[in-house]
Amino acid sequence: MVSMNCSECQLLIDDIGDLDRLPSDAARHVANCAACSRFGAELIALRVLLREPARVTAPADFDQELNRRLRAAKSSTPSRVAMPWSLRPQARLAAAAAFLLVCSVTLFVSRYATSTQPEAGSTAVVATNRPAAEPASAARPADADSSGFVDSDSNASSPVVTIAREGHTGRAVVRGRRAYQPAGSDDAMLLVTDDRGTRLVDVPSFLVGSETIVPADLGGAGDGSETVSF
Amino acid sequence: MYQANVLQAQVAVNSAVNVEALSDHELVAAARDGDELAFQEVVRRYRTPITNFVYRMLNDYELAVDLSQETFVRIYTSLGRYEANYSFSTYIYRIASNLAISELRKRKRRRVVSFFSIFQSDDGESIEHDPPDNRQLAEDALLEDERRHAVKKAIATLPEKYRTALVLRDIEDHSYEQIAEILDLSEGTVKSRINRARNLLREKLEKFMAEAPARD
Repeated sequence: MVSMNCSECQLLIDDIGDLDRLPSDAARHVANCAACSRFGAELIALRVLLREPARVTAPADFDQELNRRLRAAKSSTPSRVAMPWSLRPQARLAAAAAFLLVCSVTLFVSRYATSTQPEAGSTAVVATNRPAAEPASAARPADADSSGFVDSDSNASSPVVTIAREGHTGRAVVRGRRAYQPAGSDDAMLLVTDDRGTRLVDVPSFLVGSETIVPADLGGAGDGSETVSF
Repeated sequence: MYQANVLQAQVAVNSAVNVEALSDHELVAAARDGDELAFQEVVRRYRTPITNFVYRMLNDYELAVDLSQETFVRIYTSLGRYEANYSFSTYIYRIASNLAISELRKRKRRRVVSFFSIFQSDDGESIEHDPPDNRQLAEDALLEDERRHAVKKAIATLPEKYRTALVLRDIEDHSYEQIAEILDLSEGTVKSRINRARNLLREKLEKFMAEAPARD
């Protein structure tokens, strides 16, 4: 039989608070252990002392006075703004949906606004596929539509690429994640505006349809850049 | 008209009976939905335990009643924020203990030297002053009176963090787990504080512990 140790026994005494009601193994332990016996006797004596003063009760006019204070609290509280956690489930759901909608719109607008800023240090900011930022005539070339170019992403109005031109070879710094993609083709084309005018250029197909462009996706340049011939 | 009144009275009686059968969580949910009877039932269940707990913390009955009522006001005004993550009992004791601790700290800050400072404990808290009764008291009654005062004084001189845990455990009979939730501490810390408090009390009350009356 595994005997009870002092720690277990004292926990039981503390919990039960009566040496006469201990389970038999604990009672046996107490009978043979001076430390636990003393612990039990002292704890019980202390509790008797502490609990000796009669418990006080709430006064007879407790509720009456409380009601007066509650009325005062209600009247002094300005009309509470309903916080989401204080709403009922349906209202909480509606509030959460509205919150998400506002967040989405805010995020979209902020990304839209940020990506229209030219990158500092670029020798020439020349390309974007965001129609609103382009000259009206070049917003979406007629041949793009007629040649079956499709916007591969519902968010394609956000900028895709900024290109710093170096002669006929440009460095494409990918900012967004979509380009125009001819229907049925893996190749993407970017709408580029530079000193030679606005035109479409080919970009590597890995830019198309990728949710997130990371440096490794860009041919190993490792710095978010990729050499693009155009 | 008479029938309508009877019906209304019957509904009221039924509601009163019904709220008594509800759990604390159900009562709070009903109170949150505007059921005044449900909140009254919460008050009925807890007014005396909370008043007693605060009284044992502060040794001042008027203040205990006042803070007990403040506890209910706070619960009422934050019904919408109540989350049933733990028992309502834990929740209400947490509010009451915070109010009591806050009062103890206020007292400590005041530390006003006054005529009554002679009745203050070492850490500046007031000790209930009971002038001696000149009536002839039986020896037992005198001893009992002395013992009661010694116990109150001993509790009052405990540091607040030990006092709260000790009152909840050894007077209010809460479990270590409940106390840990009420005070937002680990069970280990609670046990350690209670152990420390008991040791301090044993030193102060040694004389009375030997002669403590047996409990029935």
